[in-house]
Amino acid sequence: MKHLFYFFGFAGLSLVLGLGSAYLLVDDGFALITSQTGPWKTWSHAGSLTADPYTRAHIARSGDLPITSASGLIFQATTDSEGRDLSSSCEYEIIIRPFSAVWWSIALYNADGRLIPNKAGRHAFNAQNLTVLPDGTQRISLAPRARPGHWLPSGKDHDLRLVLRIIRPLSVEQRRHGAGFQTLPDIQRIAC
Amino acid sequence: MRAIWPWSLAALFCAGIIHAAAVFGVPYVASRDGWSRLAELSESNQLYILPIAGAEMPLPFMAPDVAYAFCRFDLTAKNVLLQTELGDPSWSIAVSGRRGENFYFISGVEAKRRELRMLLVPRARLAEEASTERSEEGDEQIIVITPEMTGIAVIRATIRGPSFATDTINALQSARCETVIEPDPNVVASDSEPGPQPNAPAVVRGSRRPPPRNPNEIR
Repeated sequence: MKHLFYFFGFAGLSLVLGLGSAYLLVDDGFALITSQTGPWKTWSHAGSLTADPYTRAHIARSGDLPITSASGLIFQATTDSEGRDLSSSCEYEIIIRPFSAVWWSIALYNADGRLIPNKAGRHAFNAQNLTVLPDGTQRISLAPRARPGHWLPSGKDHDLRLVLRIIRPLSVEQRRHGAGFQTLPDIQRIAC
Repeated sequence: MRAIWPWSLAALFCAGIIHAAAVFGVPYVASRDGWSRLAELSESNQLYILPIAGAEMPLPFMAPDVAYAFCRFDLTAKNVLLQTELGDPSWSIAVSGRRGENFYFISGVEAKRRELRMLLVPRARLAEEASTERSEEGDEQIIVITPEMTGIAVIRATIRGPSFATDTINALQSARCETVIEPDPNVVASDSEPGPQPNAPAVVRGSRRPPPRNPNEIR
């Protein structure tokens, strides 16, 4: 009887630990396979021919069609620059400093990855439709109600996810010198 | 109490094996990966234009300011030619394998030309290929060697703003993805005979529809 108890305990523990740890690491990643810059996280080897098994599993589960990090980077943020969860009940300002890239865009989704319906039909801003302020920055307001300037409507009663896409993130010269990204946008909470 | 330790160590060891099997197995058993999602909407060797991302998106986290066109290519029988106009230097083409390994990418900046011809040739058939970087008509073409017979080519056309969405979709309508038809030397060309019908891209108007009988008539 005791051995039967041990066997079921062994089988249950094996399954929970094995499948649970696989689910967590494939879903969220870990420091060796993702890179975090402030609130922005990216799967470093997504789309690469030499991607690790966790990244391959993550891509297969997500249904995404990635491009390699040399060609494009996709960062996601679910917190502000202070590490607090992004919520539609708060108002934020995204401060962008000039990128060295062919094109970039910031889009807003809810936590499930769906676009937030709004009357303005506005879900993203990109390099081609944001004005540069006298201090050299570009700014986006993230708020449930209309704000002057570039406003992304955040709806209400849900958590938020920002996705930053950068096509050809570094120039050939920067890539040759191994330069990394230092100036990803700040996400500052203005009010709640 | 002492008897529990061998069981615990065995459980940890087995958990490791289950963990590895799950991680390595996911790409082979995932039923909702990018290829499967697009296979529900498309036939191979035909270009499809996806609707601009809205409430329903065929792929997760589609960019709302990018128009996507894709071609699921199958090179088993013949090479495939992808032709498109690059309306802006920020437009790009990515060619990936069945499981999302992106082995070729070019943006309008690198292409340095407005019209792009891309010939997809499988590595397995490379030795017997006579394709060159100039087509029979004399057009420049890029030869992309694919590690697998099947994969996905995705054209990403950036949209300046919501009012430019229709123009961007219209610009993508000129793109083509089709198998290369080699001329039959026994057939003498005649001006009076009609040429092959152009393989125009289909516009996907809804997600998760069954594959169409005629890919040009998706509604």
